[in-house]
Amino acid sequence: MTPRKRALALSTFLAIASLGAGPVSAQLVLEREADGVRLWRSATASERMPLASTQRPHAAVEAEDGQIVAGTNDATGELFFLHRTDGAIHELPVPSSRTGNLRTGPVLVTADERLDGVLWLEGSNQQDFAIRAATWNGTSWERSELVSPSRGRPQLALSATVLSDGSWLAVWAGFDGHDDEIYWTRRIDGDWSRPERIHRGNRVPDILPSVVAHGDRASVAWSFYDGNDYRIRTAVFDGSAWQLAGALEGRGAVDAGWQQLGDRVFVTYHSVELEGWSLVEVDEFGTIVYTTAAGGEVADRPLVVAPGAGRPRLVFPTTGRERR
Amino acid sequence: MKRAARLSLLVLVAGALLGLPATAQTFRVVTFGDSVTYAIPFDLGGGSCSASSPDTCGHTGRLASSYNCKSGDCSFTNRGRSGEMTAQGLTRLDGVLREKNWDLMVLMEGTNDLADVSAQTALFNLNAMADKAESRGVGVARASIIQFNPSVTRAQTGALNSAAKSLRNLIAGRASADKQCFVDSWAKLCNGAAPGAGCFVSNYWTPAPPAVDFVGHPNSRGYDILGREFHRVLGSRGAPGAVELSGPEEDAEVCGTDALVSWSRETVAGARCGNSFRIQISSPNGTRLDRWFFEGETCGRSGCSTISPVSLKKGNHSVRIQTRNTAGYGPWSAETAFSVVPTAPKQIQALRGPEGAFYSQGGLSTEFKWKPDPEAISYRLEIRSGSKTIFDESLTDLECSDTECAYDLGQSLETGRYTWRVMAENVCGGTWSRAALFEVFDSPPATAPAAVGPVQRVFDNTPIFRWKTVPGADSYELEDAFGGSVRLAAADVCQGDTCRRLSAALAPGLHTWRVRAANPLGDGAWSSTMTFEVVDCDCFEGKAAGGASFLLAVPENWNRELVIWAHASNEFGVLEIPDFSRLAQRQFDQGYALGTTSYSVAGWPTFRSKKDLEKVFTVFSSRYGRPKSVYLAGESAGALVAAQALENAKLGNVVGALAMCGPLAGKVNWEGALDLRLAYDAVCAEAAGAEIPGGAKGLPNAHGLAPGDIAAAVDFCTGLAKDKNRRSAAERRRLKDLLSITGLSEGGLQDAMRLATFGMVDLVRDKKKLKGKVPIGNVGVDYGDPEVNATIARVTPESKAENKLEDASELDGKIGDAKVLSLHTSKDPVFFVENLSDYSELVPEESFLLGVVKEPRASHCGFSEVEELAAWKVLTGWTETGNKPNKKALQKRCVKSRPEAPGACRFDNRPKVGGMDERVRGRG
Repeated sequence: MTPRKRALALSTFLAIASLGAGPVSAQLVLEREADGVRLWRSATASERMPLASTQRPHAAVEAEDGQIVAGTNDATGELFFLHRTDGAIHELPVPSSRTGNLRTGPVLVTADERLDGVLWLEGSNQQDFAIRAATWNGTSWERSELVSPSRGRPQLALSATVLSDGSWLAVWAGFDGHDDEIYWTRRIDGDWSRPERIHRGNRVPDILPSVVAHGDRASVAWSFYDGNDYRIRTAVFDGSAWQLAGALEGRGAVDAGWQQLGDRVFVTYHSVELEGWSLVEVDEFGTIVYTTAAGGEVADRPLVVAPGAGRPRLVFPTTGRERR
Repeated sequence: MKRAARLSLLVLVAGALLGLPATAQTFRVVTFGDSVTYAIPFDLGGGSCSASSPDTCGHTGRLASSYNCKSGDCSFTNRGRSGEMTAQGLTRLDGVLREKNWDLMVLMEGTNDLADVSAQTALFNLNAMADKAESRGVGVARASIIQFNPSVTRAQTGALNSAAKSLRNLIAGRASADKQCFVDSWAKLCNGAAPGAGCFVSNYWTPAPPAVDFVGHPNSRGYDILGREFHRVLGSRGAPGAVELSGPEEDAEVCGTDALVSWSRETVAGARCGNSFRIQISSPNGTRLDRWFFEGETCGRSGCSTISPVSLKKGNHSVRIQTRNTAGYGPWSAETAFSVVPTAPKQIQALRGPEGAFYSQGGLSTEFKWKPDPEAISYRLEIRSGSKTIFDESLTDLECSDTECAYDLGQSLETGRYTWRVMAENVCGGTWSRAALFEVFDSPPATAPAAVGPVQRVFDNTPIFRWKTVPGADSYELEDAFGGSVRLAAADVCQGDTCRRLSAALAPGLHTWRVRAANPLGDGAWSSTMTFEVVDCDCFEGKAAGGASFLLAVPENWNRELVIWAHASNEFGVLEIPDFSRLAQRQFDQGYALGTTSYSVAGWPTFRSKKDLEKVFTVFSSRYGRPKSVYLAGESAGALVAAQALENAKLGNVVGALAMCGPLAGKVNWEGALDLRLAYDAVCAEAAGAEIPGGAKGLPNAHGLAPGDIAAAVDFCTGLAKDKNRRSAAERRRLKDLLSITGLSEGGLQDAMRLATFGMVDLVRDKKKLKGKVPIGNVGVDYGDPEVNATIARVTPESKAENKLEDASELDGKIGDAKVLSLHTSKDPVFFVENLSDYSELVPEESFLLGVVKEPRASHCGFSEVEELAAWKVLTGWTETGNKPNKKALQKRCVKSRPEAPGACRFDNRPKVGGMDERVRGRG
């Protein structure tokens, strides 16, 4: 799941400035601090990880043996991976065979609470980014794989997840010559399928996708332009094809991101109309199970709290407030 | 120089440069964007920027100072929002635009998109924002985003700056295309400077560690630079002057409710930004339009213009224009008065003559009369004789009474056929009336009428005498079988090209009759004397509750079999007495009982024909006993009646059906007719005298047109009646186009037009059928000609009517054990021979035989008697033996039957018939 940078946000320069990050598996929210990053796992529990001034974090996951943060080192254009375990921080190696000036936008994928691999964008700018991936064997990265070659058109906003059969599912926004569309591909037994659009080609932008596994199925959410505003749309992957669902409430909606608690999945997103965040719980068929919203809440991405089968709540780690 | 002092000087200089706005209106500017626009905290401590007043910060505050807005003539409002993506700004903008009547929006956003969104989508969103603003009358000035700060973030920022530069170029291109101001912030703030250069230290916010500006915002010095650039681009000249209206002209009459307003642009040229024009159109009832229009959407090289987006009502109006640019409002232009004439006068419906026949030795001297139209300022009258125009002038001085206009041509018209029409005109033009036809005769009818029937044997002792009309006849003298002579007014007995007269009851036996035409100048010649025999039979006539009449005939040697005959449709009303077929005498002699019925609806009969036929069978069975077997036979639309009844009517043991020249493919036949009807309108639009009113509905209600009128119109368009060598180039072109579009032949065009007009108007307008709803359409149909595709009327079918026509016309092929022999002429122009192919796909192959008569010239149902007889024999032989005849059986049987009936045998032994989709253009 893809965290996003809010480059010119005022909060970037305050102590609580957050990346506005998309959530990662096992529910972590990144919050940038002046010389590091804080990883929130609940409204009150967080871990802090110091960073060098050139390290720009982009994704984090909670694994069984600690937390892993991935990002880009601005000085070198290379990825970095920091593993915090037992209070110590270790830097992991980077995938080999770098071909571009810049590796950016890393997305970590986990399976059974273990790091399974990483996908990233590689190239010199948004016009020529290719999408690459590498699997983690427990101690090092395997040979990097080409997920989608450079097309001379933007490929951005990468997001990925692992299905119950171990296959990877990746989605991103790609420019098709007229507007951005949502593309997907699947890695089965080491082979990536040919990237295809999730939806039929249209003439309006589809941007900022985020995907989450739901057993052997998956859900994706993204922002699309409805003729006046951006709204969130979802689609469900049934193992072979995508089924589109309707638009969710809220105009000016962006930053859709999934959070998973047990076998329940939730999508949270920000909408200008609400001036805050919405939470929608969906089942594996994409059916909306529950919705709530935190209007007027200006804090960065909230965490979802859902005890057992109870009603989910939104909590805002940076403010401590909680909304049903 | 310290910043405060520098700003003060800037204000002084700017104030000197700026002229005060020409009016006291406040010119309201809103700056919209992200944190670079918001500018807090980056601009704090660097001058007048106050954390509690964003309007004083960033380029917003600099502009306010430069324009010296303290007088209240202008205002600058900061609506920056930190961290905002364009996808969010699009929605937030709705609320900002509702806040006030802004005059100008300065738009600078997109930085927050570029890590995850393409520059193209960022531009899409910015364009959508600009459109939203302009649609509310708010001018738009665009700005590129500033660079990311490479002194802090090198590798990623290189990629982001590459995207930012792409976006900068896209914005600049769009601003140029839309004639919007463009502020190149990108270039002004360290354009091209190397990472780490001193430029960044000077112009970008550089907080002390550990705080880091990862992105790069201007500091106060940077905002000074931006502010100067924004001011330079937005303009420092005075407010614009007044424009000069160039249209409408003073006191002009303007056609249409969407008047074109045009004006010069010289007076605003040079103003830098937000050039816009407030157009105000008023009427005595109030202001109709009061809206700002932008230079980009209204001005070209030669001037500016726009069509009023609001509909103006008929009557007097005035228009004036105010100017506006960044420096404020200009004065209003002088006011121009004009009046709106919404539409052209309607087509004149009431032509009061001359029309019809005129009998005058020495030529006709008459007035042309019509009902006046109050919207007309003049009338245009046209009189033609064939392709020759006798008169065509606009009668500007004609004085009409309240009820009638009359024009005296001032000359006598010689013997001949004429058409005339009239058009009520105003500034919007006008529409020709229908062309009225009149003919001048100076002698008695020159020809004898062609007698049609009865001839030979009739089963009805009150037969109908029928003969063809004679040009110039206003009466006929019928000398009938019982020795009497009667003079009949043509208007009473003639309809279309046929005259009918019901006979008094006649005794069985031989009778003779003849007819001659007459007019006030004398009698014409007698027709040949016709002889017929009233058969001595057990016959029975009756009338059903639905209005249909039926006729039954049973021979003495009845073989217990019944033939029910379904005649063709009758487009001019319900027949009083139905006729049997040409085969009837032979069938009767063979021992078959006969039954037939008129249809309870005129025209396309299948809406109610099932009940009509069932009535025949019911009455026959009750009177003569239930027949052991029944044959159905029909021609033209009657073939569809028979085929439909075979599938769903209760007619006892139906063993066979003879369907001749029928529209068995159903509704698609009407699609072909619609294509012809609308193609005619498109192709013949410019041909004088060729107009046929009614469009997709065939003809108007109560059109008053006769088949001859339609034929004359077709002649006017195509020269069809002329020798090929005498047709004009335009007539040849139109004929070629029409035939090419429809796939018809010259010989079939008139027959097909008859279906497309009289047939269509009956189908669509008859209250017993579709009640005015059009059942077929042509949206998306490709007529193979770009001009026709562009000009032909496009019609969308009304679904209820479409379903009703399908129910009444479509067959399903469920015919039980019955056998069907379907007969068609190869060039049928009305119902194409391809109908057979479509029908053959519905019925079982073992139960269907098709017969195609190869004809040299197109005809509808032009079979010879012997061909019909052969078909009947083949059908009855098939039903009796159960052995399906082979393909050559029809021709063989025809040749063998020649002694029994006249005519040629032209059956195709290897008929190959394509589908209707090859003849009627696809509907997609």
